[in-house]
Amino acid sequence: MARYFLEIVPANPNSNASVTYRRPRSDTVLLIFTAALVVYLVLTPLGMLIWNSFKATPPGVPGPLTLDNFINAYLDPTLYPLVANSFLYATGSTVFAFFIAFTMAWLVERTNAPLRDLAYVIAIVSTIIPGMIASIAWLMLLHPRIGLVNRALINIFGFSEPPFNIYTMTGMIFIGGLRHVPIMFLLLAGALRSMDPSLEESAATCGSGISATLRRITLPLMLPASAAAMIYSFINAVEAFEVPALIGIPARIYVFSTKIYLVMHQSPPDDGLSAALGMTVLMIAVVGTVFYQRVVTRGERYVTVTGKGYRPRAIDLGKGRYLGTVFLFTFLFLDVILPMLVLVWASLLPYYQVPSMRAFRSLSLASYVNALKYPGVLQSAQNSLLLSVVGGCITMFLAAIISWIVVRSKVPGRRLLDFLAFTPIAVPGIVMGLALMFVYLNLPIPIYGTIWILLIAFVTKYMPWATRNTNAGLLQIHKELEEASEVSGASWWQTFRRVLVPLLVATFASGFLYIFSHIMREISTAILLYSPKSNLLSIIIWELWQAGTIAEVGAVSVMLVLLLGVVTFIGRKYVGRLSVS
Amino acid sequence: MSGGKLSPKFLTASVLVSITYLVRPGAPPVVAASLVSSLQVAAVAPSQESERQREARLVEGAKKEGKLMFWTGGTAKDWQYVFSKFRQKYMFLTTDYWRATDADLYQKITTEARAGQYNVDVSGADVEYLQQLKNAGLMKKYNWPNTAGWSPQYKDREGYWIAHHVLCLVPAYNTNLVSAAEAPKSWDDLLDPKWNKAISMDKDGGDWVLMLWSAWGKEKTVNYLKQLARNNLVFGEGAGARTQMLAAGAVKIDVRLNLHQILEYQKKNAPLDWVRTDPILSRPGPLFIAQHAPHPNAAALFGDWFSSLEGQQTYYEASGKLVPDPKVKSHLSEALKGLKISVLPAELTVRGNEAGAIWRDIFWK
Repeated sequence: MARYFLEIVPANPNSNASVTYRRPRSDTVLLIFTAALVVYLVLTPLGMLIWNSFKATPPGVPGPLTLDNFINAYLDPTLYPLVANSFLYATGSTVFAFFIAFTMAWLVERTNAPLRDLAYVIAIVSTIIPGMIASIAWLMLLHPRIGLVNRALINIFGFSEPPFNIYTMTGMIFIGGLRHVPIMFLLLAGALRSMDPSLEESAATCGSGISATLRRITLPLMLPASAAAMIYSFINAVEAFEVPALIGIPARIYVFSTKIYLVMHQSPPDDGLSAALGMTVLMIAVVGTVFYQRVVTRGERYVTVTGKGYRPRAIDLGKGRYLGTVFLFTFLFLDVILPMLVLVWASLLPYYQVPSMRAFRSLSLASYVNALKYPGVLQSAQNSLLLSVVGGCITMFLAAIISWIVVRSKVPGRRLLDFLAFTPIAVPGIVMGLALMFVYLNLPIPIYGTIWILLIAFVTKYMPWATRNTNAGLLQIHKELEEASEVSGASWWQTFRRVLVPLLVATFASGFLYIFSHIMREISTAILLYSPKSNLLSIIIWELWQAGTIAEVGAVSVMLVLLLGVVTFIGRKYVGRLSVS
Repeated sequence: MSGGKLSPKFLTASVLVSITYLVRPGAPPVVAASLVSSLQVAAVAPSQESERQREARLVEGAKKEGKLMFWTGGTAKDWQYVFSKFRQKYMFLTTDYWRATDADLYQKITTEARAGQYNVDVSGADVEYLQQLKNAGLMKKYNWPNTAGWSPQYKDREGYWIAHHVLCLVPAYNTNLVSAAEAPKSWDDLLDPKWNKAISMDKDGGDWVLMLWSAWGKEKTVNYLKQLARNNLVFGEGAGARTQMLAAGAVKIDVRLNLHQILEYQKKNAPLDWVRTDPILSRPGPLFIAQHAPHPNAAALFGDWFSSLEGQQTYYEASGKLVPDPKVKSHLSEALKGLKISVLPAELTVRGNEAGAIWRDIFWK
C-alpha cells in the first residue's frame, strides 16, 4: 500500500486550469445522458410550478396567462408577516444547527474527546427519526400543559407557570434547528475529515492555541463547506413543512410552506396562488444558489486533499476532552433519547397521558400488535425499503456525475446545470407530486400508479441535497489526483471509478444514508403518487396520526427507527471497509 | 328512407345489426365484453328486473371485471373490515383502496380526469367538494336500490351520492381540567372569554360553517364565528389527533369532535365528556360511484351491498359511526336520544366554497 508523505501544499488560488481528458465516446455519452436526465427530472416539476403561477385555472384546464396570482399573493397583507416568519425561522434554525453541528464535527474529526465516534451514530439515528415524529415527540415534551419536561420542572421546582412553551417561534427554531444538525454535521464532518490538517498542525507547532487555530485556520478553511451547509440548511428550512405545520399552525405562526399547504388544501384548492408562493420560495433558492456558486467558484483556494498524506493528528483537549463527550451526550439525549423515550411511552398507552399511576397501570404492547396487523403495513415497509435503497443509490450516482461536470469541467452551461439540480428544493412536495402526476398521466410512459413514479419523485426531490454533498466533497479533492490518473493513461470513467469514487466513499455514504432515511419518511410528494400497490410506511404513519392513534404512531415509529438503525449500522460497517484509509 | 333522411326504423335496424355483429361469436373480446357490460349496466332499468336478477346481472359483469377500486378519506382499518365482509359474499372480486385527505382525493380525481384517466370506481368525498365533482361530471347518477327508507337528508335527490355515515360533531371537554359545573352547556357558553386559548379546532372548518349555517342561517353563523374567533382557537389537524390531545389535557375544550370517538374514549376511561348543544350538528359523509368507473358492475354491486342493511350494519361495526339506515341500531342513537339534531341538507353543500372562504376570512387572518 502506497504511503503518503505529510507536506503543506496550499493550492494555487489563481489556477484556472481545467482538467481535460481525452475521453472515449462512451464517457461523453454518459455525461450528456446524465445531464439530460437530470435536466428532464428537474424541469418537470419546475416547469409546472412556473406555468401554474401564471394561470388562473388548474393544471390541464386551458386558461389565459395572468399575473393575478402574484398580485393576489403580494397584495395580501398576511404575506409580509409570512416572509418575516420564514426568514426568522430559517435563519434561527440554521445558526442554531450550525453551532451544534460544527462543534460535533470538530470534536469528532480533530480532537481526542472520548467516545467521539458516537457522533456519527447520533447523527444517523437522529436523521432516521422522521421530522413529523420528532415534532410530535417534542410536543409531548414541551407542551405548556402536557409537556413531560414542563410537568417535571413544575413538580420539582414548584414553578407556577410552565417554563417552556413549544408553540412559539423559539420552540420552532429549537426543534427545526435540531432537525438540521445531522445533515450539517455529516457535511461538515466529511469536509473536515478531507481537509489537510497540516496547516492546523503548523499553527499548533508555532504556539497557536486551540481557540486561535480554530478561529484563524480551521474555520476559514472550512468556509466553502460551512457556507454550503448553511445555505442548504437555510433553503431547506424555508421549504420545511413538518415543524411549521405541527408547531406553527396551532401557534398561528405561518411560514411559506404552511401557507402553500393551506391554499392547496382549501376548497377549491388554489393551485395558482400556491404556485406564486412557490415561485417566491424559488427566488429565495435562486439567491441562495448564487451565493453558493460564488463560494464554489472560489473553492479551489480551499482545496486541501491532495496526493500528499492528510491523516489528521488529534488535538489533545486535556481534561476538557470530557466536556466534549458531555456535549455529544447532551445532544444525543436531547435529539434522540428524549424523543424516543416519549414515543415508547406513547406507544404503550391506550391514549396519550402524562405519567401517573393510572397511566402506568394501563401500559400494554397492544399497539405494536395492532400496528403490525394494520392493513398493508408489511408491503409498505417493503416498498419503502426498496425505494430508499434504489433511490439513494441512483440519486448519489447522478449527483456525483453532475458535480464532476459542475466542479471540474469547463462545459458551457455547467452553472445552469448546478442551479437546475438545486431548484427542486424550492418546489413544495405537494406541487411536485401534482406535477409528476400530471406529466405521467399525459406521457405515454406507463409508470403512473407504479412504484417507479415514486422513484422519479424521490430522485428529483433529493437531487439538491445530493449535489450539494458531492459538490462539497469534490471541492475538497485536488485535481492532481485525477491528473495523475490521466497521465497514467486512464479514461475519464476509469478515473472517476477508481480515483474519485474511493475518495468520495465517505461523502457517498453520508449522502446515501441521508436520502435513504428521508425517503423512508417522505409524505407530501408521495401522497398523490402512491397507489394501493405502492403504499409506503410513511403514508401509514401519517394515516395513523390522522386517525388519532398516537399509540400506533409511536409503535410504528419505534419499529421504523429500529429497522433503520440496523440498516444504517450494517451500511456503515460495509462502507467502512470500502473507505480509503 | 326518403328524401335523403334516415327513417327511425332504418336507424333501429342498423343499430341492432351493428350490435349483433359486434357481439357475434368471434368478435374481438374487448369490444364485445365492454359493449355487453355497458349495455347491461346502462340499459336495464332497475324497475324492469327483480332484485335477484339485478344482482345476478351485476355479479356476471363484476366477475369479468374482477376488481373494485375504492378511494377514501376514511380510516384504512374500517374499510379493510368492510371489504373483508363484502368479499365473503363476492369472493371473485379483489378490492383495492387508496387513502388520502379529502383535499388530496379531490386533486387526484380531477387531475386524472383532465388527463382522461379514470381509476376510481367508488369514492368518498367531503361535502365541500361535492358540487365541484358534480359539475365536472365525475359523479354517476345512480338509482341506489336500498335507500328508500332513508331520510332524504342522507342521499342526493338526483342520486349522485348517498351518505355512508352521518358524522355527529360536538364540543367536548377534558373533565380533569373543566368541572361539570363550569363546563359549557350551550353554543353561547363557548364564547365566554375565560376560554381564551383553551379551545382547539381543526384548521379547516368549511363543513362546520355549513352545518352552523344550516342550523342558524348565514348571518347568525358569521356573527357567532366572529365572536368565537376572539377566544383565539388553537388549530390542530384531524379529529382523531385532536381527541387524543384533548384527552391528554393539551387543551380544555375542542369545539368540533366526532361523537363516536368521544364515546369510544369514554369506554377507555379517558377524561372526556361532550356538550349536549341545541342543536347537535351533523353532516352526511358522501359516497359516490364514479361516472367513468373502470369497473362499473363491481361498483354497482358494492353500492347495492353497502346501502343494504348488511352493508350498513358492517360499516357501523367497523367504524362505530352513525349510519343512515334507520334499521341499524346504534349506540350513538341511544346517546342522542331526546336531543335536537340538525343535519346538513344536501342542497346547502353547493355553498361549500363560500363556507370555506368565510372560515378562512375569520380564522386564518
